[in-house]
Amino acid sequence: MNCDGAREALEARRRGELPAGEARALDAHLAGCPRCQAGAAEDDALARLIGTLPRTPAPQALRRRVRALGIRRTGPRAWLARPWVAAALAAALVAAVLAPWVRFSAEPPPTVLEALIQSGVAEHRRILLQLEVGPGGVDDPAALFDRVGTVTDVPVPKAFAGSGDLRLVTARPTLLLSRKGAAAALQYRTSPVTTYFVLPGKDLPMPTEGRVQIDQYRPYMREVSGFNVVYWKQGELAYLMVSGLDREGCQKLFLKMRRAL
Amino acid sequence: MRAEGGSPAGPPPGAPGEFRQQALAHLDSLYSFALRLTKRPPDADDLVQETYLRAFRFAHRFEPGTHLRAWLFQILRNTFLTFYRREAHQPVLLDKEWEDGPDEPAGGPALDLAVMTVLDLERALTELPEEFRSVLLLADLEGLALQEIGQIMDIPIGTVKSRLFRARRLVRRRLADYQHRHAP
Repeated sequence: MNCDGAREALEARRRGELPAGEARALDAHLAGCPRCQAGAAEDDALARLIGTLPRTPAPQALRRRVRALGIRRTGPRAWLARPWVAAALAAALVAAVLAPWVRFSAEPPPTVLEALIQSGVAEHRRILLQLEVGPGGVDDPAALFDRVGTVTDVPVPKAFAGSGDLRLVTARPTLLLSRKGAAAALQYRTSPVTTYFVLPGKDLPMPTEGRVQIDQYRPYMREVSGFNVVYWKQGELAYLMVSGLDREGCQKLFLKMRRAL
Repeated sequence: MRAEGGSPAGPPPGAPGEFRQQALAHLDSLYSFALRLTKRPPDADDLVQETYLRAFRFAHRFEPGTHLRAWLFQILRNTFLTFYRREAHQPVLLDKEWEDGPDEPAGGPALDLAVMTVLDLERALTELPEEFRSVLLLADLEGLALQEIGQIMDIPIGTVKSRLFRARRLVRRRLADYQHRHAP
């Protein structure tokens, strides 16, 4: 047995999975190899130390939620249990309650933006789920954008087709805040997917807090459930971007898209 | 045994009582692992909840007699890679430290594990790439068998062993660095 074989055998022995014959060969190697012997002793100690690390028990609230999941039998109920679906429904509910106010108020409340963002994040996650089923890809973005635009009455920007290394993965009509819009998921090389939304936004607020300077633009940006979200308005349209990229990567993609719009 | 892999869900099996009870027995282990993966309690909550949702939905794919615990860990890690790990599909920037390098020369300063604190070890583990962190936690903290770890991480047993070895070496280096910095 050589040193490489000894290392593998040691891992097997730590788990009690080393056959007797190999154990004898391992011991023979260790007896003649001080370096493996020393390394084995340190690794044994390290393994024991890791084994003593404290465990954090699941919080009671999570325990209750998970137990409740197990007794939900049907598809719709199971879907309701998904955090982002629940968030989307909550957002839709908020939107429904606020809809009259949104329409007639000169200064809609920040809650509307919050509902929009939560709804966008939920839709982004649904798109990620869909992409688990198939890799995505659009042969004719212009034709697809035409169809989506017809359904939603919102023209899909040509920039959503991507360019160069920024590739369109899928596009579809969507509902955010009870209003029709378009969603386009794009991917920069092999980075995580980013979803861009466009929807009628004449009456939507543009907050004064939480905005960041990106080049000459000042969109609203924050992190939601592990995703970076960017929101901005152009004319009568509102745009939302939900990305799995880190903050810097997200800002770069915002800039690329904003300049192309 | 197949973990949930993203195919369209049929009607959920409803997670029959016995299966559900057995699955729920691993809740604390899964949460503890999820916390060390995501590093954020709210994300760990979501990850564990989604894991159980998928496990119950795809319970019909679980083969009785095989290892339920490993199956649940597999679902949890796959879900983490899909939804929570931002760098999952980003090009990996391999620090030289993560590459295979020569072993420490024999006779070098020995690592005094006895003086290491749990905090140092937690920090060293946190700084490891996920592939190495997971394999160590599954092996040493969860006590899973090599075959189970291979199933969870979708790698052959030989790769599990070599990854464990490399992970231990990386942790030891980190701990030695901390020890050196703290030395008077």
